[in-house]
Amino acid sequence: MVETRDKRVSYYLLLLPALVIYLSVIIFPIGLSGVLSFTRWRNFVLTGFVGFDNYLVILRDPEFHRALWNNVQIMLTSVFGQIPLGVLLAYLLFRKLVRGTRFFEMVIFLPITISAVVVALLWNRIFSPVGLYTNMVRVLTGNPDYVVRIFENQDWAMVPILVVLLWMHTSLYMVMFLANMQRIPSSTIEAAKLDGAGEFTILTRVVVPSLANVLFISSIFAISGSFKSFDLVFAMTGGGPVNYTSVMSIYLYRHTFTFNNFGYGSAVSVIMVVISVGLITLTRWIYGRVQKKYD
Amino acid sequence: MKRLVRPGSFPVVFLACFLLLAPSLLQAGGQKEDDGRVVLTTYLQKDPANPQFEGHNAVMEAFAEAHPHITFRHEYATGEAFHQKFQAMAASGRLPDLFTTYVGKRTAYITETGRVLDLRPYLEQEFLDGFTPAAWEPQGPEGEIYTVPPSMAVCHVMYANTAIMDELGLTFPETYQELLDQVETIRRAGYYPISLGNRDQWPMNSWLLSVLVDRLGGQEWFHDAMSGQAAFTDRPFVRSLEIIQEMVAKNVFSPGVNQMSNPEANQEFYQGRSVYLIDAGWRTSAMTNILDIPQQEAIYLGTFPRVDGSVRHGSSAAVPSEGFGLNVNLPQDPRKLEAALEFIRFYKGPQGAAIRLQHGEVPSYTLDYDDFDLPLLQRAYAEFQVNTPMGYVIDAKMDGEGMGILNPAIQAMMFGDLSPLQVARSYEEWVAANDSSRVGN
Amino acid sequence: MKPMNQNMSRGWRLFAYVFLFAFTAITLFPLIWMLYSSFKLQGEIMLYPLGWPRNPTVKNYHDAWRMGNMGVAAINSVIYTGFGTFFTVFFSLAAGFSLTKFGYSSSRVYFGVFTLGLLITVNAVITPLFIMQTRIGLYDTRIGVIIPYIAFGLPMAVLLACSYIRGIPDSLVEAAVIDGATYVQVFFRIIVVVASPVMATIAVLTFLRNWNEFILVFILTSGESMRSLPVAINSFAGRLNVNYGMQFAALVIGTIPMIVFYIGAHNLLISGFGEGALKE
Repeated sequence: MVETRDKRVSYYLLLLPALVIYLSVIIFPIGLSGVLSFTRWRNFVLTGFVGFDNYLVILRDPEFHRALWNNVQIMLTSVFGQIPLGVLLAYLLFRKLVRGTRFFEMVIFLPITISAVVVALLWNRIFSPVGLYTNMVRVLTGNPDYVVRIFENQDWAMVPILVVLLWMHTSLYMVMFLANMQRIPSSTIEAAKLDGAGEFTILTRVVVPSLANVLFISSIFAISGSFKSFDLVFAMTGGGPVNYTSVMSIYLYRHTFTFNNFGYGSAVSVIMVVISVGLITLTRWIYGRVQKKYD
Repeated sequence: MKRLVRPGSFPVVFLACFLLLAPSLLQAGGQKEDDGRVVLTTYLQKDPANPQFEGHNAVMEAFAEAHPHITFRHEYATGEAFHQKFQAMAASGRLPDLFTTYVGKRTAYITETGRVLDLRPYLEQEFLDGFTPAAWEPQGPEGEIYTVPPSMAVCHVMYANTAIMDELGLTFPETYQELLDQVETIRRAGYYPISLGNRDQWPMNSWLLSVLVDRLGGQEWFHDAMSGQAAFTDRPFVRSLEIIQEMVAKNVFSPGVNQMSNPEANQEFYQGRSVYLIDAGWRTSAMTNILDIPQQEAIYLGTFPRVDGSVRHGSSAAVPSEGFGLNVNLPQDPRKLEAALEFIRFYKGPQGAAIRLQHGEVPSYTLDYDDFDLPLLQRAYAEFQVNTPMGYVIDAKMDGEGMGILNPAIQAMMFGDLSPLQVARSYEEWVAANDSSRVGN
Repeated sequence: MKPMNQNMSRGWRLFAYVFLFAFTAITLFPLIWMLYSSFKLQGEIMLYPLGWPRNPTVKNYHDAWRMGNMGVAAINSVIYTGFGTFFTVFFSLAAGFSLTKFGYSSSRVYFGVFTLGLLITVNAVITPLFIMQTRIGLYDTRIGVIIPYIAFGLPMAVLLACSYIRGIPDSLVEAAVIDGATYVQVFFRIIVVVASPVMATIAVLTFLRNWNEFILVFILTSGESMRSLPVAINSFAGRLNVNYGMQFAALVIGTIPMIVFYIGAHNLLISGFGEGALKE
């Protein structure tokens, strides 16, 4: 009896500091966003209640559709690019398949320390019309009008950003996976090796199943992070040319802070949350199915 | 199962860090106010660390020396972030005493919402007369003056590299057709005709489209278009877009014009790879810093050549620069108000203008340039301002959100995805339904 | 069986080296470029953006340090990041323990509430946050920055902590409770020790996030005495004439502490693995 009371008190004692701080900061802004998403603003002054108008306009806006599609591309890159690559890199380092693991671990980690501004500036120094790569091609091919055309192509303009994202953020996942791989008892891996399993088998049969939980958590991070991504896209292209590389958070930023329509921006953020919740619920469902299968 | 009792070193290190940092938390932010002084709080879109603002810094120093009883508590910000915070301030009603305001639409959330003081009752006519007349375009429905513009932002100059022109035997084109005819000569010699960095989407609009529309339509047409008596689907606007489209089709711009940022376009021109550069007038100060004297001597400041069917010629486009607005509540504290007005008179008037002129700016307050020893290009820029008729800049007159429709559409047109008429239609449609000049606030 | 195994290993190794060296080259290039560009003046950067400095100078560092007031900014960054990270790690670990090892059904709800926090964009809530802080007097205080840092750091940290602690055998906790320890004691004596790898992970990720954070500090404080490094660095990215040289110098100053922190945390991470881990 006493134990259960102590247990419940302890439960709240441990939980509340995090919960209280988190909610005290988040609740008011979230609530306000929710309410404001039904209002119209002009010059950052409230001008009236418009019901679901903001939502209807956003959902019909072709620019929003493009932004959403671009976010989906980022999400696919994160979930099916960064996470598998992160597992692979963590595995190489965990199994010490190369010399100098500490050096490489450091190097893989480095990209997230580089400011998005530097990445964007350097990218342009190389690939812009006055950049190094562009000029080399001009000289080599004798075509003075050469520019990198995919930047101007509706369907391909996102690809350079996706490549840079893959390079920059894979380390995030590598760090998490590496920490969790340390929990796998070395005896398990030795046993698998004695059974004649190769590295690939060890990776897929022993290591990945033991990471199931953290893979699930990573997918949640990847999905939510993808739908919020802003800094790198903003620094690299600002959403342009035209709006080929616009993403939802740039769309939100422009409508809120450049066009001064606070209500419209709030509605965008509500839509972003709803989409993410849907996708995370889906991920959870898939995870549940997979877990059941393994059990 | 056994657990190792040895504590991980991680928590220990963390605790040590925490103890080390704890005292610093007790330090309070902000500075204390001295008694007997007037303290003005500011929020300025300035970057004191940037060489561009040397003039600003020098004026601030001179003012502090002349008025030791007035002190400032500055807050600086740049770029988009400036507006983001300014809007938060406006929404919470916590504005400082003095802040950056634009004459155009960019700070409409402050200037059109009754948060800034009309300076007309406080400034003497004699002071106002000292400025170039162009500085005094109406800032509100009643001719209010919220901002005294420290200078004019000239948004269109067609710079020419005369060294290359001499080499190719070219002269600055008189007509648009002549410019088109030069393209082949220029390109055959391995140069690009015109550099313009339109990556950020607004330069083509501010630096070229505005001038073309002004030349083809004139002031009256534009006022009609604003009020709805004319439309942006009319000939002046559509023809201007057609010219831009034609220039793309005929290779007048260097390749990748929509991929090139402003500094990159400048770089192309500075490196002598293009003959012309279309850019803003204030670029002269950067050229003075970066180029050596022979290079500077080779630069000529002209305007876009004559266009068939235009109602005015040789004009550029300008908008009064951003200056300082005062908090509308400032008159409640007469000492603060007097200090702030004194600052504005000093900064914008003859003393401040002279200092700023010596640091590369061309102030809107009229000065006799012969009294100063000015760098070559600054002198040229000052003369350009005196001798060139100035039209409007579209994005200073129309709502920013509409520019979010127009500017990407211009890029799409340059890629061949939209026709000039389609661009004009989509913009007109937005303006008719939303722009504050048509539908009011 | 054995030779095939070795071949496969060799293939893996080759692939690993090629991949890692390519990655290394791509990664080190921007850093080295940033480093040597910081010794060039503006004109040289404009005209020869990729060239090696012709007249190397430390003027950028000198100017950036003085004009950007970077000494103060560095101290502020350490304070914001240090406190933000410490409390995020500590609170998230406690919450992670309570949400995974107590078996209450309400845990699922709280877990969901924290997950929701991952979806909030700072730009969407920054204006309400500013209004709230000016009303209750937290605006322009250090605590007014640190509390949002913790709050925005917690969702990710709690999820990570939960996923790790869930994997710690229940028997470990139960045994201690049967021995007469309270749950709070279990947390401090067992969980904190056993979970040190995930603590290090959370610490590294939270530190990075806080160290690079710009918008919260910028909006929620005013004036130089409260600025952090990213806000100071941003002041070199002016609108009209970007001074790249000074910006690079400032970025170098801002990047080094992150790398140092990672090296330090990395050592702890490894020692955590080696000695604090569970043994059968």
